[in-house]
Amino acid sequence: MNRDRDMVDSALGSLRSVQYDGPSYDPQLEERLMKEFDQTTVSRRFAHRPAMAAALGILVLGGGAFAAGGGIQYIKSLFVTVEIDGQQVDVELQPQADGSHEGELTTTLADGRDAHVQVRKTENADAGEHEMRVEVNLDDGDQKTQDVNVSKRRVNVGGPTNGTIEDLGDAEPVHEWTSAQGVDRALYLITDEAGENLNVFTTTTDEAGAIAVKRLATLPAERFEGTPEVSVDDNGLISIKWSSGEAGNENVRQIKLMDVASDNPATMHVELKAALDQAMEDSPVKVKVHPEDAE
Amino acid sequence: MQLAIPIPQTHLTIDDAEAALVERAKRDREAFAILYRRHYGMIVGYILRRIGNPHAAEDLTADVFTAVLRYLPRYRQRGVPIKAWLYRIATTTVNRWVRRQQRRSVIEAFFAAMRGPTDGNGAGHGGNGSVRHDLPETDAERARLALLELPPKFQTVLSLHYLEGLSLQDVAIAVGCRLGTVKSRLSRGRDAMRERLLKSRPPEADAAGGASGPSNVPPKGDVSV
Repeated sequence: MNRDRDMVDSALGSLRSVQYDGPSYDPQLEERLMKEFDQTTVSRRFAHRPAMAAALGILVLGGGAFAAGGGIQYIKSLFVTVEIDGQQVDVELQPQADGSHEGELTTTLADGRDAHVQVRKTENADAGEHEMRVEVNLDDGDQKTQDVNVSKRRVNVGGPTNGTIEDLGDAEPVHEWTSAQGVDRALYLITDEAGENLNVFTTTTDEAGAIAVKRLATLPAERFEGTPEVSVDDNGLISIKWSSGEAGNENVRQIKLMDVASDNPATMHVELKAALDQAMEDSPVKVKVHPEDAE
Repeated sequence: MQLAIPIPQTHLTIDDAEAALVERAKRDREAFAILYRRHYGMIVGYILRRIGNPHAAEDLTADVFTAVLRYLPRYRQRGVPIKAWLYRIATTTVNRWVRRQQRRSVIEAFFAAMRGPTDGNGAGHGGNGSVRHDLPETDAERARLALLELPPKFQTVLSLHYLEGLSLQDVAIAVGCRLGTVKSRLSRGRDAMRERLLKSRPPEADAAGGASGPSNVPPKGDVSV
């Protein structure tokens, strides 16, 4: 056994000694990257221009205006990204007793100024609208100024789509269960290569052992880090809960997904959104579906 | 899980200066160039140790930094140091390449089997459709081939921990999975690698070591590089 262990260690040790003896960097690659950098920077500027033009001073924004101006898609997080002189900060909104959501923070900008950001979001459920007020106070000597660019974080949950076993890569399921119909199921949470999106997959294994893969949703990975608790109720409602922080100051993010067995993608889609929306109502969540902005 | 030889451990930390550089690199081409130059060696070295071919390693490194350029604006620190993030992208890139090579190797091996053996020891095929590498000549080469035969998830944790010297916690961050999963993969990966090393042991090693089993059989399922 020791000799075998030495064999593995020795092999890995010999590999560890392999060093790249080429140049410390590739100038041609750098040149190519710089060209691509310039191109992507230009396209990003164009992408941000309408938002910057519209976002000066104190902003009061309606959901309808957002949707019309470029389309908020299926999920909105209760985080607001506020950009101040090119520097982005994320403000987390907490539910208030009156049903609104508020958040504030103070940050130091790159030039040393302090910026105090306050966000208040109110919803008019009857009208299917919400308003958001963003205030930024810059400590600019004697003068308080406001110059804000606001963008809503938007995520396309995508609705259920068929996947392949390849989509699962090397991942291991975070939860396995047997459905009420006696079918073996598994849930996978897979972050994409850039760490940007967290894809929620389920698999169904039939009696012959064939595995069908379905992607239920795509979430912003940065908001759903760590190891979640997963449970599935008898109706197939999948609850995924991420917790962080210490007891008493715990930060909980939870989503609930209904994996609807339907041959009609449109039906499945609507039911998924409805299930999410309903699930969010009574949960300390940071994600909420707004069906009125979905299309 | 203990190594007989010490591994220089690298702890990935979130350094303020580096964090500031990363933020600037999202908008400033000069900062991006610094970021690129600073980490090029780390990435190309990692990929080279994984796949062994310097030219392919350079090509894959170019793919990695192209992906970095594309995704950097969305990168948020949040407990994932930039080095871990870069390793994550490099790992995905290499694993994709490995799977492609493994699939190609299987297909080529199938057609080679249909053609029948072309030499006495079955170690290689000249002419149309070479299916396997030359026999490994050095310990490093033999180790690399044994490593490349493993499922990519084992290759990843073995490489990041034993070759790159990342702590298990940092491997978990870089791979994006739980610490327990990393430990499990490390243990199973070592067992799998031991099996392959035993199969690929050269004749003189068997004679000296007295081990039984095949002595001149090249590694199964070679990966062409």
